[in-house]
Amino acid sequence: MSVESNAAASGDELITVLNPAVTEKLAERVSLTKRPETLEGKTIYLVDMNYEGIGGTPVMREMQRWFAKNMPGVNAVYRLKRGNYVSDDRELWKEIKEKGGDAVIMGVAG
Amino acid sequence: MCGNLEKQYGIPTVSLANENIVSFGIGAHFKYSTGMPLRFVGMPYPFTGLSDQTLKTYLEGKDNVSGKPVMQAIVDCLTTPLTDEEKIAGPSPEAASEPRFLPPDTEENLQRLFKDRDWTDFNPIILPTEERVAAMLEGTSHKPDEIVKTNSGTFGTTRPFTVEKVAIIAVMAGAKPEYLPVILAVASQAPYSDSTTSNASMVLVNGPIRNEIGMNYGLGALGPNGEANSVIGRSMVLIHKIIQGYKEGVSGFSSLSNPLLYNYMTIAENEEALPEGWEPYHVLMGHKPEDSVLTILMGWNFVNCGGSVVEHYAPQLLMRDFTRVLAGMGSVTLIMDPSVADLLKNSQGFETKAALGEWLSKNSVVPAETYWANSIASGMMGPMGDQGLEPYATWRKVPGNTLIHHLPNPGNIHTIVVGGETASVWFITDFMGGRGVSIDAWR
Repeated sequence: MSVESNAAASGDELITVLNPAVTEKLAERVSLTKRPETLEGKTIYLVDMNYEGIGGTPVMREMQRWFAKNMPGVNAVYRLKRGNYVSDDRELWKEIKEKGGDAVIMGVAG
Repeated sequence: MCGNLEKQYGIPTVSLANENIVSFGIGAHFKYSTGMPLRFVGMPYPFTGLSDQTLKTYLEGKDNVSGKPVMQAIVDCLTTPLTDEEKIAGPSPEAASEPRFLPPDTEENLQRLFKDRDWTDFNPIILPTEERVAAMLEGTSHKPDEIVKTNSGTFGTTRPFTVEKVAIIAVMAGAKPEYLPVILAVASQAPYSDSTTSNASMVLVNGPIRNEIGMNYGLGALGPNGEANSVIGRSMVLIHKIIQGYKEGVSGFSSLSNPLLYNYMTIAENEEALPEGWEPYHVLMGHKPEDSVLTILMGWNFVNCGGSVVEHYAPQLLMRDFTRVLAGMGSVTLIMDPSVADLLKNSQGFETKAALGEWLSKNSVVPAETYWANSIASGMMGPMGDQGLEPYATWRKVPGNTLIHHLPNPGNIHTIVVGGETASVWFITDFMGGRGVSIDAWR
């Protein structure tokens, strides 16, 4: 038995009300970029997004050490993003592209 | 930013974030904002002030998304071929349109439905029948199907809504038709500011409509002691949830949230009790006295002066001292009883609100290290200082115990007078608001 028929069976008055909900528009889909098969021999930028604003997080530095020790064939470049954590840094993105950056690890957001 | 790198520069990315950002990034943000199924690795929180050993533990720990070791997950995000889902590009199908009416049901079931859909503040609502909504719409000359705003979702996602939707919410909140222009003005300002850092917004009404709808700007004005104040504030709570689509844990992650959000501290200024020379907030923002204006302010802190004004310490001195606890955005909004305003004007010689702001700007100091210890200041102003913007550049360089004038712009110091003159009480807040918007436009 449906909720509605349950309600009707209970003898309570049925009420019709307007719906407050709005319809949200879905975003146009965008494909991700094709991935390389391996990171070996590649340049990976570790971009600190400067979440707390002063000097970045040590997590990214620790990650750079991890690559040096565990994947020495990866050129892991550390960079602190300019501006605060919500601002874009087009100069850096352009630089990464021009210098042949193969991938970006960005963090850490809280 | 990862979306830009992938889309505009063709560079594979992986984002490291704590659980709430990951949840938002692969959920609502992907669905309604970016359209990109970005790859995330979930990190524990916090990630500052940690020992090297703890940091290593983080990197050796498990990714909250995939369950793999963090570094393995990062490498996989950058090398695993795209899935069919990740290759999709182009327009998304239209979301199923919300019907104008809900299926008929009993009062009890509908009350439960509205709560289950997160359309309430968990108090009973007035059910928005067609008759009640039609009566509410008598409060405005605008047509029910007029679009009030399109980009009303969190982060400006597309959630178009009509005058009728606002009238429905006004009914639910218990409003009278004469409140509707104010509630429409409130709705026109969505989306409201939200942050994981538990900020809040407040509503200020100025001009003739305060008296027309009986807003309480006297005794007990900041509490639940005025029908219009209460109901307009409640309407904003519902607009935030229903129109903006804010849902804690889905589209927002305010760690503690904020008690001011129960009513958005909806107040009107006691313009009639302003000392001579002290102009109402909206007039100082360029509106005419006869304009009815809504201002939504946002901030973090709301501090009581600790009783009332004392004889042996002038109020502006304690205001100056209390600025130290504010969030570091360089903004102050003082909310004070008319008796405090009178004291400041007639005993302390502040001829205008601006004069008080200028004095506080000149005399308020805080140690640089205290200022930068505030994450709002460090996160937003620190990078600007590092790029050479003054005064932040200088403040970044000085020794930590150097006293800095942390309210450099007196134009960011505002005063609102409200209250019933039974005690000389004031509050200091770091709330900031813009010029305000016309309520008259929604009549």
